[in-house]
Amino acid sequence: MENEQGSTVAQGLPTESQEVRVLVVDDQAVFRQAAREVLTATPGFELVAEAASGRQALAAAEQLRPDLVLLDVRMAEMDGVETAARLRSADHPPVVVLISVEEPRDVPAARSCGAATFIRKQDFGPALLRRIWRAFSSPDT
Amino acid sequence: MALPADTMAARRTAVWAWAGSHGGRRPALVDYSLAVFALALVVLAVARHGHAGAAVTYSVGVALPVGLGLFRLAHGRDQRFARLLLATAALWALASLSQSNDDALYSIGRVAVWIAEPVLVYLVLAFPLGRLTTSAERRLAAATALLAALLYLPTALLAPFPEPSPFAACGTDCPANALAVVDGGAAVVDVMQPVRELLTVALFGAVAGLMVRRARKSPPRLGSALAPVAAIAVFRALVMAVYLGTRAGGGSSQIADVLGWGFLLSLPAVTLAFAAGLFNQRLFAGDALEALIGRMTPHGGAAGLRESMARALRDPSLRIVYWAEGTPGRWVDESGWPVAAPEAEDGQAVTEVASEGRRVAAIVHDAELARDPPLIQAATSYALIALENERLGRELHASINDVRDSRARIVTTADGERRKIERDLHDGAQQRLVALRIKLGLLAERLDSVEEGGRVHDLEDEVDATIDEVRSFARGIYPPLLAERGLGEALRAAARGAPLPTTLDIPKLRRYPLEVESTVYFACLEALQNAAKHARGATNLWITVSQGSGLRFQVRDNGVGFFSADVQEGSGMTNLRDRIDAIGGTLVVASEPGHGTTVTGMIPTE
Repeated sequence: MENEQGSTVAQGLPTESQEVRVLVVDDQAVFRQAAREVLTATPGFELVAEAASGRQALAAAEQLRPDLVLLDVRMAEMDGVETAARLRSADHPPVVVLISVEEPRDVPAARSCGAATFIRKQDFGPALLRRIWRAFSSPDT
Repeated sequence: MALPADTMAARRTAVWAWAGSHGGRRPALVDYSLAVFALALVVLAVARHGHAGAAVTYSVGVALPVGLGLFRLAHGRDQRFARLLLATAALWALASLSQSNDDALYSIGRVAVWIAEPVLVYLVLAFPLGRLTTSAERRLAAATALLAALLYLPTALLAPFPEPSPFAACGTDCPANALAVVDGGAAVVDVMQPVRELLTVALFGAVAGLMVRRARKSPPRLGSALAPVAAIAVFRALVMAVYLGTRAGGGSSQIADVLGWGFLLSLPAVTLAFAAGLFNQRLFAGDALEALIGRMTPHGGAAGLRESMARALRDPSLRIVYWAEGTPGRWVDESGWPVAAPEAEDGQAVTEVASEGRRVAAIVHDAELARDPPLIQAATSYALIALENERLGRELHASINDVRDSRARIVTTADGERRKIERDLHDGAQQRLVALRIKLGLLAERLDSVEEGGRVHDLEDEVDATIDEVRSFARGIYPPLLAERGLGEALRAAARGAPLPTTLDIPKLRRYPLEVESTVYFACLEALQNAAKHARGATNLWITVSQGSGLRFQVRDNGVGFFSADVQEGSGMTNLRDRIDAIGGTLVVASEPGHGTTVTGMIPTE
């Protein structure tokens, strides 16, 4: 179902489930579909919403309070770096992972926006997802 | 006060008519016939009388205007004036018959004088145009003709001719009047003769006065041409006045003889004065044209043109107005402000400048200049050349600007297309390859067979390589970092990928137009790549960028360097030079053996 901001919401409000709640933000539908498949194939992770822009991501994050946000760097209007900075300044900041087809060295601003890490899109998969969560989640998440 | 339109139009027509006649027909058969007739008459008259002094005077008095008239005609100059000279010579040749002892020939000769003198007065007043241009001139010429027609010519039928006469060498013992049919001697002698002589002196004096005033009021160029003629007019007036006064008072015949000779000698003197005046006029015209040509500059502008012409023609009042299509009233001054249609005020004339039937400008100038049509014609030709030069210069400049703008637009469009290609690659092929890679990873995790899993991993590697190639290709077309973060970030990323350690000196740069940022970026990239390929021995590269009135960049290496003259520039650098030139920038490659190579460029941004 879609919320007011146009984000696709897989479920309603956060529950006390053990699963990690993930928000996928990317303006490319092709990648969102692949990410959806990865999350479906990865036990312990739940796709709570998809967003196609930084603005949609902020609205979805405020409403749903995801644990992990996969955030594409290159988006029109508000790019991933700016969106990450805003997400991290929220009351309950999620773990933000920047994703891109570019090499990390080509996105220098990524280091200072508060994102936990930067990964290449093509490397995204269940194993990497689990490693990221183990490395960057806090005990309270 | 503006002159009436018909006067102005008449002046314009006069100028252009003369201009059209200048350099036209050669002496025609009628001109030569007239000349021969005149000379033959002189010979006849001299042969019939034999008075040496009169013969010489009349011969010279006729031969000079004949010679001058034919000379002017042969050179295609002042044709109207030249033909009047020939007609005057013919009349004076008829007047030479007054030297004859024969009653009939003598009488014809005396009457011919009364016709020739008004024609001579007309010639003096019309000098140098051959046409009367003011009302004062026309009134004087008409008065002289009326005087001859009413008070001289009819008396040929009524009474003997007055004796002595400066035009006859017979003194007081002249032949009889063969034309008299009625004896009205008393009325003529007592009434008409004193009146007409008084009027003659007055008219001669008025003509002399007018010529002197014209010579004094004219600009130096025309004054020097009019001065000799004015001097002769004064001389003739004075001599005529004293002669007639002496004759009327019954004074000494010797004095009358001397004065008569003086008056007769004024005939050839008049022609010599014409010749001197015309010579001075041509001298001035030559000087003026030389001055005009010497002052012709390619970028003098409208103000420069006016100054040059005013100075060369010695007419400070000269001004030029320009025809401007699309402007209300259609005339503008040299600053481009609309002005009223040019009209000649008192003492001025207007000459239009046209090219191929197209009105270009109008010159408002001293009316006296219109009396020298060849000069004004040459001056307008000069003006036309200067104006055309100026116009061509402006068109060339505009064309150059158009070409430059066009090249800049091409560069901008090309950069826009490159960005679009890169974006399409990113949004299309790259995303699909990424999704494929992710799905292959998922597939590999699901497979139990090690062999099959291995095959899938091979496919993953293939896809990885393809993703890298497409990314590299897209960055080569247009790096997304340049579009998203600007030149500084893009150059820092390029430096990180450079083959040699690279030191950067780049301040925080503002954003520049697409074509500027991409041109500088690719220029630096090309320089880095060239250094990697050719800078043998280089251990470091430096990239410096500065911004101010323009965006300056420099890429330097510490390689072995080369002699610039020995190395031909590659196509990559040539293309970049074209791009930089298209947006108004410059690129310099400097190198010396042992001193590395420096590529320096500047793009104007203001």
